[in-house]
Amino acid sequence: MRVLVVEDDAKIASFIVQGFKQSGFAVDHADDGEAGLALAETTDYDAAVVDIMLPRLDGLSLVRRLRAARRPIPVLFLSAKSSVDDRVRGLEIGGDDYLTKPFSFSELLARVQALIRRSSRSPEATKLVSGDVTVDLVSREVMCAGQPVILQPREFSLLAFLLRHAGRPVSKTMILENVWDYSFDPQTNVVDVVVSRLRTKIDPDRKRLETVRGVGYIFRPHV
Amino acid sequence: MFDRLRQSLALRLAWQYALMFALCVGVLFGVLYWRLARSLEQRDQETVEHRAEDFAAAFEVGGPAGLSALLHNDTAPDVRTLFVRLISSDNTAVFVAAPPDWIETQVEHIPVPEWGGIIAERKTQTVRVPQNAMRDYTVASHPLPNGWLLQVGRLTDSRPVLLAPLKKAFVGVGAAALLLSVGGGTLLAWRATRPLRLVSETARRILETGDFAARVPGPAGSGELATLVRQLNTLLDRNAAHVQVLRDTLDNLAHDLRTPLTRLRGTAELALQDGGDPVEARGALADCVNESDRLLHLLERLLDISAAEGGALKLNRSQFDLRSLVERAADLYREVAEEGKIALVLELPVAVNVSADAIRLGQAINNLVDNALKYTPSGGRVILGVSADQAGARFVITDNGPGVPVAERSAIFRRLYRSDSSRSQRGFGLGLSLAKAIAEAHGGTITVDEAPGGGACFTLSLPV
Repeated sequence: MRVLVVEDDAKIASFIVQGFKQSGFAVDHADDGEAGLALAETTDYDAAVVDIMLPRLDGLSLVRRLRAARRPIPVLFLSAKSSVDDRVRGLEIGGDDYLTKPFSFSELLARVQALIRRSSRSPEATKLVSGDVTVDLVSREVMCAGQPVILQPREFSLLAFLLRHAGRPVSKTMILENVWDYSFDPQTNVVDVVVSRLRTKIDPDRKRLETVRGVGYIFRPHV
Repeated sequence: MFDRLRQSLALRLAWQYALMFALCVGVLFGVLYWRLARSLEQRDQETVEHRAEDFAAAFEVGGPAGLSALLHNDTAPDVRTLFVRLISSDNTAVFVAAPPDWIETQVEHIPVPEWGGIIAERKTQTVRVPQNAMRDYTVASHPLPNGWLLQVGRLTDSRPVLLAPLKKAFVGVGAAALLLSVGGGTLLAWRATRPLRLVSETARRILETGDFAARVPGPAGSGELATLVRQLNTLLDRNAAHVQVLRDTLDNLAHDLRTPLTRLRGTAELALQDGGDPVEARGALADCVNESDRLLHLLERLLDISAAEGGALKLNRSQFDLRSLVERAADLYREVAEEGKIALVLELPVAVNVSADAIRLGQAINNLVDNALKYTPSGGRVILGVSADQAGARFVITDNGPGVPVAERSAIFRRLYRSDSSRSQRGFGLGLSLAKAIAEAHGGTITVDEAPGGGACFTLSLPV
C-alpha cells in the first residue's frame, strides 16, 4: 500500500507520515502542490491525502488536474475550514472524502483505509462475519455467540458499519456520516445512545464493542 | 490659509465654473459681433451694387452723358453721397463724381481692381477699402459691355465704430456677470460642500482621538450629500455594533475557555507526574484529547453564532418542504427519545414550502428538538408541528416539561447561558443561541411561550 501525502505544514506532515509508516504503509511526501501533482502523475498510489491550502498549486486545483488526466487515485482532502461549502466543493471536484483540522490520526487512517477498500472494488459480501458475530445484509439476520439477535434498523446499520471496520477504530463523526448520513456534526449524543443500546444486545459482557478514549469506538472480533 | 483656500473644492468648483462661463460668453459675443458686422456690410454692399447696376443701365442707353444726366437729375438723397467713377479700358478715369464732402486725395486712393477672372464670374465686385480708423469705403466695380469699368462707392462707418456700443455693453455686462458668477458660485459651492467638510472633520476626529462614537452632524433632506452622510453614519453605527459584538464574544470566550483549559492543564499535569501508573497516564491523555475536542466544538459553535449574528453567515437558499427537515430531526433523535421514554409526536398535516438554507435551518430545528428532549422528563411528550399562513412558515415544538419561567425567557437565548436547573445537563448552552441566530439570519424569529397545560412551546417563524 502506497500513500501520497501533500501537506506544507512540516509538523502535520511528519505526524501523518510517521503514522502511516507505523501502520505499514509506504509513504511519499510533497510539500507543495506542483511537487505533489508531479508525484501523483508518475507514481501509482493507492490513496492520496491532500491539504487544500498549498503553496504553488492549491489542493483543489491539484485534484482537478489529476481528474482531468484521468488518474483515479482516491483522494482525501484536509482543510482548516469546516464550512459545508468547502466540503461540498472538494467532493464535487472529485475528492472522495474530507477531514477538518485538527483531526486524530486514527480517524485519518480509518478514512484512508475505507477509501482504499472502496476503490479496490471487491464486490461487498452479503454476509459480514467478525468473531462470533454474523450479519446477513440480505436477510438482515444477526447472530451473536450462536444466538439470533433482533436489532432496530439503526442498530443494524451501526453494527454493519462497525463490522466493516472491525479491528480498526472509527470516530463518532464517521459513524454519523455513514449510519445517519449527516455530513456535519449535529452535536448530539445520539451515537452514544445507539452504541449503548447495541451493546446491551450484542455485547452484554463488553468484550467486542470497545470505547477508545479520545477517538471513538472499535469492534474487536471475539470468539 | 492660502493653501487651504487653494485646495478648497468649493473654490475650485467656483473658479472652474466662472472660467467656463467666461469662455461661453466670449464665444457668444464673438459670433454675435461677426454676424452683426457681416449683415451691416452686406446692406452697404447691396446698396452700392444696386446703384451700380442702375448706373450701368443708364450708361448703356446714353453713354457717359446719360450717366452724368442721371446723376444730376436723380434727387434721391443717397445719390449725392455716392462716389461714381468710369474707367476706360486703358485704365484712365473718364468720369469722376465724388460727394461734396470728399476731398480729391481720397478719390485718388480708391484702387482700380485687378481684372482677370472676376468679370466672368460676377457682374459686380465689391471691396471695402479702409480709409482711417473711423471710416471705410464700400466700392462696387461693375464692368461695362464696352470694356470700361463703372465704380460706385460710398463712405461708411468702419466696423469698430459701428460696433463700439455693443463692445462696451458686453464688457460691462460680462464683467459684472463674471464677478457675480465667481462670488455666487463660491458661496453656493461652499454651502453645498459643507457636508463633505463635516465628514472629513468627523473622520479626522475618529482617526486622531479614537472616538468611535463620533458621528457626522447630518443635514436633513434627500440630496446626494445628505444621503452620503446618513449612509456613512449608518456604516459607523453598524461598525460600532460589530465591534461591540466582537468584544463581547471575546470576553465570553476568554471566560468560558478558562475553565476547560484549566481542567485540561490539570489532567495533563497529572499524567506527567513521576512514578504514575502508565495506564492511568494514558487515560489522562485520552481525557486531554476529549477535552480539547470539546473545546474545539465550543469554539466552532461560537464562531457559527457570531457569523450568523454579525450577518456574515452565507445562506445557500433553496426551496423545500419544511416537513422534510422536521422528519429528519425526528429520525436523528428517535433513539434518544426512546431512551428517555419520551414520545416524539409529528403533526405535519400539509406541505410547508420555504426558501432557506436547508443545512442551517436543519441545525436550528435539531437544536430545538435536542433542547426539548433534554428538559422533558421521562414518560413525557414532545410535539413537532409545522404550519403556514400569509405571514410565513412556522415550526412549533411543544413539550410537557417544566416550561421556561417568564424571567428566563429572553435569557435562555443568550450565549453560554445555562439555567440553574440545567447545570447538570451536558452541553454548552449554545444550542438555542445558534438556533436563534440562524432564524434571524433568515429574517425570522424564535419565541418561547408556555404550552397549554404547562411545558414550553418554542416557535420558529420564517417570513414568506
